[in-house]
Amino acid sequence: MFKKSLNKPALKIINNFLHLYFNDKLIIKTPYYNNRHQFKRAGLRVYIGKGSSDELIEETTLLLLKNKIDETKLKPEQLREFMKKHNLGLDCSAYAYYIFQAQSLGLITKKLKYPFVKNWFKKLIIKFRRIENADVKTFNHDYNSRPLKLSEIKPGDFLSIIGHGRQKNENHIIIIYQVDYNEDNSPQTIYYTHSFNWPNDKNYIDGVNTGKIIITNPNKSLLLQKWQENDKTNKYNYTFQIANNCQQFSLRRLVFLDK
Amino acid sequence: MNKIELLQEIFKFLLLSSLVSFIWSPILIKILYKFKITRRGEFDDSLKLKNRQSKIGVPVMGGLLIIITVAVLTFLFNWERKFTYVPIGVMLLSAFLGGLDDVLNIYGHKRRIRKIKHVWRLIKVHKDWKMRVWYALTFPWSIFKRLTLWIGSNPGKGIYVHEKLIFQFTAGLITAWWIYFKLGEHWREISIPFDGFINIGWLIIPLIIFFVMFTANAVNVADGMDGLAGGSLIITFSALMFLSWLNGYQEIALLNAVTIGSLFTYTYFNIKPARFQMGDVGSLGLGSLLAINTIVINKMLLLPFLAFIFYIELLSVILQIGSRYILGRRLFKMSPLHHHFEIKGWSEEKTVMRFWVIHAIMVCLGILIALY
Repeated sequence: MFKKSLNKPALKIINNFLHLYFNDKLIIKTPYYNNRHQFKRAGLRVYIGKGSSDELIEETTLLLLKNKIDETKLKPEQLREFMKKHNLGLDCSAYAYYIFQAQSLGLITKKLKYPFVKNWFKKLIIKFRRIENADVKTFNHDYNSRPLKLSEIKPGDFLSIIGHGRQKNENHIIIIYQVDYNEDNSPQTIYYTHSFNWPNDKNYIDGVNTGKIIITNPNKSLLLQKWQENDKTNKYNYTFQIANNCQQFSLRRLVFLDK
Repeated sequence: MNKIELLQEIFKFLLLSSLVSFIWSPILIKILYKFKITRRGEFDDSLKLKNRQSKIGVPVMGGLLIIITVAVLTFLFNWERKFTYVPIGVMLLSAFLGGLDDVLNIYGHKRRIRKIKHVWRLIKVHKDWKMRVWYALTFPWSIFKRLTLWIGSNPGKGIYVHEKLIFQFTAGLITAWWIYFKLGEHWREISIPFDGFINIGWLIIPLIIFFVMFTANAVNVADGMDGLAGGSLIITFSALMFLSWLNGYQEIALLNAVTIGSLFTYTYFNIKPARFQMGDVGSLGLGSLLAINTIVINKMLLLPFLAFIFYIELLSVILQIGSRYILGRRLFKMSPLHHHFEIKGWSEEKTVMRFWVIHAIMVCLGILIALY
């Protein structure tokens, strides 16, 4: 058995989001925030779920100062609540963008195409705000990525989930950051990471998270394997549920990461 | 009056101004405390920083010390129709605007500006047709008001950005009118360093308006730390005094001397921990005066050097706003620039003194260029 994982900068990005470091006693997981409902425009990207880990820490620290809250007296859960209350979090596509940016060593800024953008003004805005405008459909478009077979899977590929939720109008992206292979090069375990809202017994286990897919039969689809996240498996695993109930689920690879 | 005699006069005026302002400063402090014209923290984010909370309760409008001393002494001893009445008038106009802002921030009520969408809806659905016509006619004005909110910080209870801009535009316009129509042919030309003069015709009018507005706001923005604006203004007005003395502008040299004298007193009381702060009344007034005094001695293009630290501070604000809207991220931890360094861990004294030193070097460079 052998394993492959993302490059060091990309793993560092994942680690930074999984462990937002405020001080030695205050390390939290990045919460989830999606701008779809509030539809804020022309503001700081950190307030629309698109900020980097450093920006999230900096903005939270500034807000704590403004609200006269002593950071050292906060518990991690309180800080997380504070961040969520102030719309400081990360959505799935921004998380994916940061990882792809590190994995492609910055190539994504040149190579990612925005095929859904037609008007010139929006095209101009994209020159300055690439992360904000890179959504799941953009990554999923044939200009930017191609579908794969399970046997071809490698770190840096992603699972695109198009059309989930009650109205089938939500999309999601999951990044593969590590793959354990059998001796015959077939995948044995796939480790993924994503930023997501996870309903669980009335509580939300939201934000940046990791999980794994244990390949029980390499000849079958990914949806027929064993998905594990937050100690929940398959039908109890919300990530699996949305993947199973969406309109389009596919394993894809960015074309510029193909080589 | 020869140059040495003029120099003697200049220093006499400087010392007189310093003495006069020293004498009446306790009265001003008493008045400010009596009417509770003090700094409030409710709309000022910078005061939420831990090491700045001591500034809450410190009197503002200390700039009155300079404005009134300069205006009175100039009126009594240096009132010259050609050279001093317009600078003093524009300074007083700008100071009035600043003073109004300071007072309204304390005694005023919070006002709101309707969103553009809201006004548009009112135009379509208001039950009174006269009001619909009114809203339609004033729609461009509503857009202007709303858009100016983007370039200003939270206005609190004071004057809104669009009102400030109109006031400052008027101040700039008066200056431009005075220089273009009243001072004579020579002042219509701009002195280009190393290259003589250039006549750009009426285009000098918008240029003057721009410099007056920009400089007044720049000084206003830089007035955020104890001693920063006061110390930097002393350096700048000293340079202006030297240049006006050198070029034979007697009245302007004396006006600069009077300003420096009262700035000495002001800075004495403004050194940390400050007895009072300048407030908009002082910063806007002195900013306008700085611009006019530079323009009138035909050194307009040297303003970026002579008002270096003020321009840098204002540029940091502009860049921060631009970066926020265009790039979606902060360029500085906080703007203006002095707060950025404060958050980075520099002490207030360190920031202020380093800014003074950098400013002094750039002003020296400005003087050197002016001599060519």
